[in-house]
Amino acid sequence: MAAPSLLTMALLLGVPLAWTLVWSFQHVTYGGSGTWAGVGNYADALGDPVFRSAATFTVLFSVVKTASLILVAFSLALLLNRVGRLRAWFLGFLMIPYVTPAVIAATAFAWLFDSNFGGVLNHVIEAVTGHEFLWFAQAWPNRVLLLLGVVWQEMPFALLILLAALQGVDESTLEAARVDGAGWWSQLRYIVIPWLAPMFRFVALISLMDGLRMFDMLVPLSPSSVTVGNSSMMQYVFNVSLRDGSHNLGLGSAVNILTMVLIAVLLVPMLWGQFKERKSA
Amino acid sequence: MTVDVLAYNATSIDPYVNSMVAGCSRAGVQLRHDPVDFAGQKQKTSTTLAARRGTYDLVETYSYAIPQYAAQHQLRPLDSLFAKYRERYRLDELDPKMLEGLRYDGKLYGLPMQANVQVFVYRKDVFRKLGLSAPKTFRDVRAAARQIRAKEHIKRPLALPLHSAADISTLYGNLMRSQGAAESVDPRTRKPTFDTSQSRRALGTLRSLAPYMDPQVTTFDQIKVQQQLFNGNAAMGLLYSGRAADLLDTRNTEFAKDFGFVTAPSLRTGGGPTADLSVDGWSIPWNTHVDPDLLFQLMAASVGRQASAHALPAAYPARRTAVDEARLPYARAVRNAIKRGASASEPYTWAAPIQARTSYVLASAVNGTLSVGAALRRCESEARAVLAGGQ
Repeated sequence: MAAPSLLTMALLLGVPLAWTLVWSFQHVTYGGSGTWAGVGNYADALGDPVFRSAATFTVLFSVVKTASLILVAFSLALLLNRVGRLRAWFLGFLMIPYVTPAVIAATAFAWLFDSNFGGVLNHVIEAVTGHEFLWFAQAWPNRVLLLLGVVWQEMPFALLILLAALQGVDESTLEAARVDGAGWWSQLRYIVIPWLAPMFRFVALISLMDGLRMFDMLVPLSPSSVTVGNSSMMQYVFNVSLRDGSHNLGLGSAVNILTMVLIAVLLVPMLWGQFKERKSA
Repeated sequence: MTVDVLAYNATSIDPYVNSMVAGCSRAGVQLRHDPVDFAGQKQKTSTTLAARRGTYDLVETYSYAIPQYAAQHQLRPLDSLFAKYRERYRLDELDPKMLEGLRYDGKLYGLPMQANVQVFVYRKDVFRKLGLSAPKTFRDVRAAARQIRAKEHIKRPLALPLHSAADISTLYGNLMRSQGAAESVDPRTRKPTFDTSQSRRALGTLRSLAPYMDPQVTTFDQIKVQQQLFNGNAAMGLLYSGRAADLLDTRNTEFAKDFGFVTAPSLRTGGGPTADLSVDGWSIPWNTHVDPDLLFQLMAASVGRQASAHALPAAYPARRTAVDEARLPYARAVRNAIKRGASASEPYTWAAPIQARTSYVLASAVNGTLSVGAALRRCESEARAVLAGGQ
């Protein structure tokens, strides 16, 4: 019974993964058969300051983005959980960025800050602060813009998960806590958050994986990403493997393998936690 | 028989593709073309040319890409076919400079359809009001920018395409050629040219223009420069001629009737224009099984008189008899640029990899993160690494 799925997995995942691994030890360009390079590609990647900057930024951004995403989505889920008939309307409205293709959503978001295309939010922020922010050309303003854009785009998924989980919180436990004099904060801290812990871990897992694979959102939100130090590992792969004049598939493959290792290192503790939880349940 | 055609969609390219697909699909020959954007075309070209049996039988190429593909023997030389069909398709009417742009190592690898040349765009109404004449050098540009800022209150009067991923290298290269220097590597000595007085002047000029431009200019591609001119945020700029036609459309901007076009300024008096000739054309992949004779005739028909006339005013056609100045307000600027030395980028395989590794560094000098000297030293070392084969 499992044979068709195993075969599909082997063809769609196993074969490309095996080729990526082989190429990561070769000098390969389009159409070439590849020549043995040993660990040269790995050494080139790790010795390249552009890659190190991209890897550092990707990891730190993923962590900060995940924390922000959970905070915003959980806050909105708490608010929406108290809304009655209008909840579906609010949810529908909040889902817009999630159902829009990421690169289009990011372009629209970028225009809110780009005075060439109206830049409504940019004008408001400048009017309020009296300061001109270079949202696309300076590292920190661009990081803030990226964080806002990515959280805005990914938040609806996390919101849906957490809202669904909130509706499953045991009402009688909350009632008992209220009778015992527990306030809103105590109920949240000692009942709701522990109840939702597996969902927080799930959202964090997905968000970290998305963060480590970030590419398309960067194109409109950080057009000068390499120059300002806000480039991602996947963008590095694109630049070394697919850009004009840079068809180094071996180096790109090595970075992909390094990314997979990094994802594994970051996610194994979380997956282990999930596994232990299921086992004890 | 089906002939698969790969060409990106753009107002300047579509007339040629449409003419080929609609006009030549007959007598058992079916031409197939699916819409694709420029980035998609670049990736598809790389993969189809690298395969043993390609997906496409005709590909749209351009002068910058020809050396890479030709050096790897992925394109078919066209010289004998060109000679064979010269008269029947009046190929002598094609601009010789554009033909030159599609040559590599003395052989012709593409049949030109149209060209893009950087032209200087300026607001005639603003210049007239201030008694300014169109700038001939970048010193004139700075002087005009100062006056426009002071008297017309346009805070950032100049817009240049200086996107850190590619455009900045094009403009830097053009500033080098304006001084008669090689863009990145001297082909005779095979030594990088980033550590020279010309390179310091070229990058120094870009840096000196920064105060008159939007501080985020290193994120500006051609579209953003257009947008600055549309909005009136800038009163002058550099654009490829293929983008110039959009400025004349009253649906795009209230200043449509105010734009003037002149040849791109020189770095110094008497120098060449800061412009390159980017030629689009058709090529035949080596890995197609379709008869090259048939493919060449399809290409030749698509750059015929009718298709070239239809391409106006979006394109500056390779067929010289189709250039109609009444319909191409930027035609004189383009022609002068070509006459004064604007030519295709360096036809060498190192050009693209060096650009890929240095464009971000050049941008760091323009936005002030690195000094001009430090940026050029880093570019020099990146270029040496490419030449040494350490890509």
